[in-house]
Amino acid sequence: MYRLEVVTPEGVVFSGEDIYQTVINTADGEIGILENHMLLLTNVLPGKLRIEREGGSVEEYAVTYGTIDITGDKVLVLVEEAYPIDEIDAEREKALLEEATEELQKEGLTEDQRKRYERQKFRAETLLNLAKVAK
Amino acid sequence: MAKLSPRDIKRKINGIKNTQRITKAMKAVSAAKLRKAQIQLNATRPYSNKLYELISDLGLYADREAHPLLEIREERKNVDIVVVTADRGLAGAFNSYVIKTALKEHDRLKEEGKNVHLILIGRKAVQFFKGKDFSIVEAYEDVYRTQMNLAFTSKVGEIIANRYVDKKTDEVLIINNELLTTVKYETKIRKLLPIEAEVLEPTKLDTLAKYNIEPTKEEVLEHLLKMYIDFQVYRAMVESATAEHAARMIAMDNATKNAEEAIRRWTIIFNKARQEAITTELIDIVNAAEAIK
Repeated sequence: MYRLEVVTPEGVVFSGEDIYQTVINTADGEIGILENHMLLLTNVLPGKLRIEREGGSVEEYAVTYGTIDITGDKVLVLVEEAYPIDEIDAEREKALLEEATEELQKEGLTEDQRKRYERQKFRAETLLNLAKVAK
Repeated sequence: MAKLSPRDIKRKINGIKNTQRITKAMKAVSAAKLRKAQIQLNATRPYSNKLYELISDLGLYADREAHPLLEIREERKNVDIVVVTADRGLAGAFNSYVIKTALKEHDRLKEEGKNVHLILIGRKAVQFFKGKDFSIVEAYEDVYRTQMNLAFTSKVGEIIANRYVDKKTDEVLIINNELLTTVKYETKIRKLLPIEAEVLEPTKLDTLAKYNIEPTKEEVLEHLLKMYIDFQVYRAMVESATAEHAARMIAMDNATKNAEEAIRRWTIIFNKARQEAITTELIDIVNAAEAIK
């Protein structure tokens, strides 16, 4: 049992003391975090954040880019956006996906622009998939 | 001034009353928006605390040479100023304070022989600086209503970060209004880059060495530093929006009071004019009666 906090610039999205396991998508692939996990600092990628409480109840969120700070008794998820999966705004993600796909086809993009649109594309695709699976 | 008839005065009073109705409504709207903005502002606190914490710990683990965004340059030939105003006016001196401060800073840096470039957020800043003799990197208008979020500020942050890494700028300042109390705001100048030493002050030296950092320290650091810049721009916008609504609330309160005073003054003038008309009429009647005798 450990403490988990999910924080975005728009506020604390989740905060709980009785966490059994957290599953999250990181730069190194999907990881599950149990109590006394090794100290780890890594980047979070868009995907599903699954929180299992000690009592067996499960909550699922969609998160975008960020960072996760793991210590044995406390886990901090710092992400740009996080919300319950059924609150994914499919219209918005579709628009983001369209924009990114269109931009990526253009020639003469700088390295940074290409990177940004690829990030945007990955995020939109991931969230759209999550929304689809949830339905 | 030509003498106004009582009817003209009445019309004027009604005009003022209508204006007062509008200012009163605007005050109420600003009060509601202020509450919302304050909630949004308070919500940024946990994030900023945690983000600072993470960066400070990493900042020591790494060092100033660990990432180009951490670099401090001796000679700062180019300075960028991010000017954050509101999109709308009617908020007293709210926007002109920011513009004045930015102008002063611009001129001061120019005098020191530096190249100054502006990044403008908010229509009022764009209206003032555009088309004049300023070097503008990017100008954003009409952003508060729909784009006060990280998706927008990360675009701005990316431009800033790239300019710094590409050595197009050696120092980045951000100027915006911040609310001190409900009735007082102040224009603040903050240094966005290079990142100040206190941000990098470590908080948990003891555990740091035991951390595993994946994929690499540099990648996590880069990500965190970019989040930091994006967030600073976001925070400046939220601070500015909060102060804007407070400023407009005060301005509209004053306008409502002024209208009250104007109504009072014009009512006295109206009463006098009416009295005068009655008196004139009476004199006419009396004179006529006298003449018939």
